[in-house]
Amino acid sequence: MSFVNDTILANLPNMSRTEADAAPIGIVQVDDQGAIKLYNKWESEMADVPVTSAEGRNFFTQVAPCTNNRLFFGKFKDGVAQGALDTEFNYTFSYKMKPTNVQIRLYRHPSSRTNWVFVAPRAA
Amino acid sequence: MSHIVSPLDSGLQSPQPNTLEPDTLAGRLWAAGELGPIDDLMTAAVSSLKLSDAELADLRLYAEERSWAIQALAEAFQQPEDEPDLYPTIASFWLELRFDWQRHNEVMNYAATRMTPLPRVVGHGAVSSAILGRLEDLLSPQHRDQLSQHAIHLLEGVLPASYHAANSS
Repeated sequence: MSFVNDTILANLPNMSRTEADAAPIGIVQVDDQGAIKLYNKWESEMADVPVTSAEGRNFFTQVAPCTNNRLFFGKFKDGVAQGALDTEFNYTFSYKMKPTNVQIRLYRHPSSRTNWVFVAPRAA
Repeated sequence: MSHIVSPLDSGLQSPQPNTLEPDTLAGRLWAAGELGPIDDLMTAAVSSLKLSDAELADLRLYAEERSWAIQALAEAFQQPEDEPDLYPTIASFWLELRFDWQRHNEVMNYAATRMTPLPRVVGHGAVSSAILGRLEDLLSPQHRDQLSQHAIHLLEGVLPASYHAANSS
């Protein structure tokens, strides 16, 4: 069972910033190149990156450079290229932060063709 | 007379008190290399890792070596007229640490996919990342971005011949 509940997925294209900021997980909307369009409060606090410093910048190469590899960004790029992306995996964030084990879900909403990165903590 | 002691000669004695002007680039670099704050960052970063005493000692040596290197750089370039040379050397050191961290990041995450976690690698990645953050504060945001992008683009397309053979149409 995914850590991202169906209510969040169903609400995605119309999710307001208030709703995103109320979520108990990280929610990041990115465009097809990875530029951040929405960076929610949970993610901002987990990564210690202000929202204003994140939005507009590339998630994979600028804000979270520890994701710039085939395991993470590679999966995203493949999914966008195929027009279908829904994958979950474990990861460890490590750039300028205490090594943090997380669960990741990369998701492309089919009808709106918007891309989402969901993040939740994971026990080691 | 230099009071810097090589870690290879001394068993990592603590450096002499800082005599550099704190508001100069060299003074701020010295402060960035102070072992106390680096040690605190390291302790916080590895607190959840299952490291043996020997592995922790190895990690502390790793941190001390970098602390020494940062402060040796600060002391060597301490004159105001040295700043045009010191700044790009700091940038070079930052790149070196970034590549160090990047390698540890890749190893820890690839190893995790194969269910073979490597806490020692995670520890080294955490320490290099923490020190990277302290050096980063000495560079302008524009230069940090520029260096990061160069570091990424440097390796784009660097793929083995076997990859090209497998992916050629």
